[in-house]
Amino acid sequence: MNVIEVKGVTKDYPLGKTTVHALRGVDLTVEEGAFMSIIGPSGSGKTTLLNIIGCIDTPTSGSVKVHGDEITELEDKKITDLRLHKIGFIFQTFNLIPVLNVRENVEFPLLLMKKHSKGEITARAEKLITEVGLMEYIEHKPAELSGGQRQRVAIARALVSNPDIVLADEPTANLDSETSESILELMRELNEKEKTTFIFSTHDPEVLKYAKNIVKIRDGHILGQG
Amino acid sequence: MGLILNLSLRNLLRQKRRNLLLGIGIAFGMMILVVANSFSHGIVDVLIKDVVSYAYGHMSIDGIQSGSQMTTMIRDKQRIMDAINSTIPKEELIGAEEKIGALARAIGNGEADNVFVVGASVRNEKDKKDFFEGFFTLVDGSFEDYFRKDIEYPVIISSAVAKSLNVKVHDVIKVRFPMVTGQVQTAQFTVIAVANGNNSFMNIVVFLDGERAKSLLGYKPWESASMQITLKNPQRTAKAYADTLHRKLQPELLSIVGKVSGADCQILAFKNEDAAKEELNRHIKVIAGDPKKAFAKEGVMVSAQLARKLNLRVGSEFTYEYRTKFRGLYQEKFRVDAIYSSDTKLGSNIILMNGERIYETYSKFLPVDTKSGYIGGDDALYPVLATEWKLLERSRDGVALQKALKEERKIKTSQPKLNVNTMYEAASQLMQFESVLNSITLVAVLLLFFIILIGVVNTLRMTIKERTREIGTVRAIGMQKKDVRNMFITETVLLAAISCAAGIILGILVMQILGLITFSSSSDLSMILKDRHIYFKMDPVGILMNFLLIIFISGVTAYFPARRAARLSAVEALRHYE
Ligand SMILES: Nc1ncnc2c1ncn2[C@@H]1O[C@H](COP(=O)(O)OP(=O)(O)OP(=O)(O)O)[C@@H](O)[C@H]1O
Ligand SMILES: [Mg+2]
Repeated sequence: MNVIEVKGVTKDYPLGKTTVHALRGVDLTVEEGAFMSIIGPSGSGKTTLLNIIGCIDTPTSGSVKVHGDEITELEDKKITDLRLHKIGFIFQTFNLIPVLNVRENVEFPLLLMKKHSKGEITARAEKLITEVGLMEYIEHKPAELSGGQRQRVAIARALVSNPDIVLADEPTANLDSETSESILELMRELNEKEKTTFIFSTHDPEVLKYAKNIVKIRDGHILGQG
Repeated sequence: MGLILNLSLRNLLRQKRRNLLLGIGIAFGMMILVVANSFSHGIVDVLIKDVVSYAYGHMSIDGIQSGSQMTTMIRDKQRIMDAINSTIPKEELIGAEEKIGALARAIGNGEADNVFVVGASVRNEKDKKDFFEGFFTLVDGSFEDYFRKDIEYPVIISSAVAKSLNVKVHDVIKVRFPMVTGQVQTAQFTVIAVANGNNSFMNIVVFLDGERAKSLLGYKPWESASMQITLKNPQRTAKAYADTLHRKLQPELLSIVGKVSGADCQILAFKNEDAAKEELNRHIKVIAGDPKKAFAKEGVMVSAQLARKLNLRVGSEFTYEYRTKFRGLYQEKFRVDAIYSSDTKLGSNIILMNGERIYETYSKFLPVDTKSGYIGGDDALYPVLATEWKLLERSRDGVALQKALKEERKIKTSQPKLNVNTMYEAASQLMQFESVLNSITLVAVLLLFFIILIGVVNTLRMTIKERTREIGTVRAIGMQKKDVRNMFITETVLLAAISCAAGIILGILVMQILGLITFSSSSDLSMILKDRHIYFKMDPVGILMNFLLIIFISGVTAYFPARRAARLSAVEALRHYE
């Protein structure tokens, strides 16, 4: 079954008197359980595409379906809810909430959902923190963690709500290669274990060896999906 | 909500310095507000509770007698008391007291000064507690001597009086003052205590037992100068009760039922006003004697029937006899100036005279029997006839009252007058002080709002700019716009609430410290001092209202920047780099 169906998506940015065509008609389908890498050079439109798939940006034209629901026409409140329940984000710059410790950062999406008991929230968060191997840092604030550790926290946060799909925009770009590998291994492991769909972008061909599916993008065009 | 509160609180602590700055601003403003508010409440309390209500009562009914000098005199205390008691329910009335006082010239040991002799009765333990312990601070002597029978006039004086007269406890002060009767009274007061009242207005007062002061000043036991009423809720009830009392104290016709040579007669009087006399002249006909003389100030007219019955002629004298309320049988001689015949309801046994001829007799020797063949309010003659007293119109304020009294003084008459007023009118100038003080508080409030407005908007703008990427993150994760907005509002409101609370505590502390300072009683500030200290009176309701208002204002002020933050596009916010 397809988690994501993108058809004929374009994205234009007005830039002064000209227009930047960030995406020029993108078609993409993502199957459940995929571990997909979007690769392309800088400025090719990776971030733009991920943002549109992640429902934080809207395409200039075309259609985007998440679980068969067309999202381009939804109002903000519904889309926000959809993001909360169906999509997890991992950012290049980690983007943890600085005033919250590891546990609280991971619990954050569950608290926003307002549908779990305290016990459930704690159990679920601790399970994921254990899986990313940070139990001994559970009370630490983000500022007290290394880059790799922060990205692990971000991964735990992205997965805690059991999303259908986790989007990661260059999750390893700010990490050294050793740490990058362990992060990708962790993501891959969770992909297998939790059956979560992952889409991550990269411009580093080294990373490709972890991907199950690879999508090449250049100048806003998909060059190939396989 | 728990999450938002938690986040807000922690974010407040994160940007410590900036929030501390705004917090101190708000706290400082709130402190000023609390102090200013309590100060003005304190002053008003001192002025109203102690000074004004002491001098005027919350309400007072004054009898005014215009002889050579204006003196205060109520002839029938009980009648006024009855009116008071039937107007003011017991649970609203704290007390109705006679107010006796006179300005006197006092001579001590080689020094002389003007003092104000005030009658103060201490009848029971409660009075003792209120007066001796509550009102005074004893400097020297003993309050117990106030009751000594072996001293003729034991008095309590202030240190100021003691100083200006150069006297100590047990010394004698010679005083001279006018009595109500117009004579000059002299007496020797013995100082039994030097004590200071709780406000500086009492500095020139010499306190003497109420009964002794009364007789010394020439009042009979059933008389009084004025009645001073203290109420439970003066602000709410004083004016309304004064209006009701004013209605109840409308005077009746001056009428004395009595006898001449054993025959039943009634004295009625006409007003000493031209219009009244003309009107009267239309209803009666002078058939013997000089009409001019008959209508003059001392004029006395006897009805034709009565004249025939008693065999009275113009120029003949007769003795009028009647029972008085307080002084037994009373007789007075009158001379017939004219004899009249009448077509009206005026009875056949009426002796008509000018009010000025009889006012003094009437009020000194109040008749028991006043109602026989009475003329009703709708009778044409009614407005012509003189009344027991003149009830002054209720004055709007102190200025109007002074003006009205001045007007009254111009009219030469011996008719007694009665005035009903509350301290809100009598002391309206002092009361206006309250609104001045309230405007000072208002300025403090506005200042505080200004701080909040500028401070909150600026602080939030910086905060939001700094946390733009964080806003993008939480929006991407799935926090709703309104929750983002509420997070920032909560942050601001929380800061305002904590700062306000700190400001209130700070204010209380400042007041405690300022309250420790003792001023000399001769200081310029003494008017607003209580027991020589600045007196603060917290107004919890007012402070709470201000507190809520500030929180509300800060919430409203935060609303717009917070909403702008919430409306940021998640993508844009995430792209934001500082
Ligand atoms: N908000 C924007 N306004 C104007 N142009 C934009 C905006 N966002 C992206 N672009 C342009 O769109 C194109 C695609 O950008 P995008 O960020 O998707 O590339 P990318 O593949 O993620 O690049 P990188 O590897 O450097 O992150 C670029 O040419 C970029 O300059
Ligand atoms: Mg990018």
